[in-house]
Amino acid sequence: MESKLIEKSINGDVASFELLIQKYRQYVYNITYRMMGNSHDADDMAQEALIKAFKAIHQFKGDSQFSTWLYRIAMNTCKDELRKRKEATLPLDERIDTMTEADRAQTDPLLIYEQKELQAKVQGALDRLSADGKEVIILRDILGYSYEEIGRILEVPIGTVRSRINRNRIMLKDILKAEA
Amino acid sequence: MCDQYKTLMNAYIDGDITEAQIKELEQHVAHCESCMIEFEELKYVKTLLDEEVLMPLPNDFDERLHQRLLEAAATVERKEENETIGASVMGKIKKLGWKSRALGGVAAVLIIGVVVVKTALPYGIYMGGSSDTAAAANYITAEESTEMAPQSFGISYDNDTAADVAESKAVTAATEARGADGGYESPEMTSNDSSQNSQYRNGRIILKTANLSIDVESYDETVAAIKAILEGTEGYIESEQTSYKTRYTDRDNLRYGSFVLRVPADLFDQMLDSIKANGFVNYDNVNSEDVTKYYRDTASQVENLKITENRLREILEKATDVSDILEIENELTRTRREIDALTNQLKNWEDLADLSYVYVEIDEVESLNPTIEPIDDSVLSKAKEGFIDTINAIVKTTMEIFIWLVAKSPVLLILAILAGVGSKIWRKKRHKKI
Repeated sequence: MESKLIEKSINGDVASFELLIQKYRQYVYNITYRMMGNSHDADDMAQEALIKAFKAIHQFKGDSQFSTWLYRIAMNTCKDELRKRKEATLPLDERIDTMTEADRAQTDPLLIYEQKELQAKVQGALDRLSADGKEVIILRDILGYSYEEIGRILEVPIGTVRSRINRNRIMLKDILKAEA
Repeated sequence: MCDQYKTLMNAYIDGDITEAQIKELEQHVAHCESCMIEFEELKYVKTLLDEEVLMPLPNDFDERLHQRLLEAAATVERKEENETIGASVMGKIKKLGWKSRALGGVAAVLIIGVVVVKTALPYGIYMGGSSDTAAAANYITAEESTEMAPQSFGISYDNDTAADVAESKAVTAATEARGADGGYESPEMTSNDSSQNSQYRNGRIILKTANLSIDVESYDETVAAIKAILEGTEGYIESEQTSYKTRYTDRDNLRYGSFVLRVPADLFDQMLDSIKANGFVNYDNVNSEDVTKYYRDTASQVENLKITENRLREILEKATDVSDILEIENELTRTRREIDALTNQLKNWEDLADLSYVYVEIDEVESLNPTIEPIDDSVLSKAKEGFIDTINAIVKTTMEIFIWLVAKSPVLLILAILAGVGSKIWRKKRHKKI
């Protein structure tokens, strides 16, 4: 029983917590992987997120699913880290905008490129989306959550989820096209 | 200009689109080349994303996590230990029940004492004392943070059985809390939970009842319509009663019937509509009762009881004392009985939700549109007939009176004599008195 494991985790039982996250940890890792763009950072962030969850599990109120709560922590951990790094690097959004504007004129059809080649580039393109944009695409298109569920995980209104997905999918496509 | 179609493209990809919108999008794409390319590309990106596989976890992910979790657990404990010093201890103890207050107070004094000594003196000497304190502090915080039944605090954890009893109580309390929070409303992600909960219904449990009273011209057709809908479904006619209406006996053979139907929930509206279509509705009442909350509460109660039952079985295996065994078995029987009763209630609700009750009263009438009949041409002949009838009736009655008088004349004669004698006597008596 999940609730039992949560109770025990609150009491500081490490084994129970490990049992509890058994089926979610791979998803946590995949979220951090997509958010961070490389396995090394993903590993760090996934560990960080799970430790955070363990320390904060007494705050889990049971009004949402445990997985939703856990994924939210994973997302936020990555976003915090990206924000820290962003301060020292180029602003991501602007770079994308200028590039897509410049390359929008190109009309090479995407279909002529080899699928595998492109798949490898998907992650690269994802990395160039903003953190907010990246997370909705990850949740919707890779983890397959519905708009409502995404709204719950990110704690934003469903309309915001919809417009973010609209905007970022087109952006992602433009980036892929520009790189091709 | 084309922006609105881009929104539609995304809606299309997510399946969040109406038929009309699909048509609109298709029409636009057929004419607008740039949008067609955009649309194809978007769909292609989506398939690319769909094909992205889940990355496997790095090799020693679990081991490293385990190490860090242990470290985290240790720091959490140390923090709690420090937090228990001073006012927070008293605050926490206040939250406990009266039973444990005395014990809590003693524990608090001990904790404060030991911690003060511990911080003042070198570690090694008081190691034993400090680990006890940590344990006690853990119990307090555990109790407080989970808001479990406070009476389990202070029980001596001497043997396994006692500890198990306390633990099972705590588990029950925790599960109850979860149930009350609506934990059962959202099916959990865990495979264990979903398999356990699959026996319960998801979605809302609504019990519908309809009462209908209807005037019809053709009784048989209405009944046939009802039967036609129920045929081949799980629904059935629970009771059926038909009788002729006595006040119309001679003329029309009109009937009156009352039916109790059990109608599958999805056919409920169709059934009502098709009955109503047969005639004039006198009375129509549909009542829906949403028992979702009661259903979920009962379901979680059953789950709790099952947990208790399992725990009791485990305890039973460990018990050695005969009186203990008997007591646990009694408790098991009681728990089982309660589970059965609640499960029956759940089944009953499910049954009522599946098959709605429809009470129908059918009243057959000659015509649904009563009209004044036109005066027909033969009114005079009818009047004549009526006149003759009346004359005949008078003649017949007179004759019958005559026959009766003649036939009964002997009796009448005797009665007349008796009456004459009687009246004479009565008059004489009256005369004397005056």
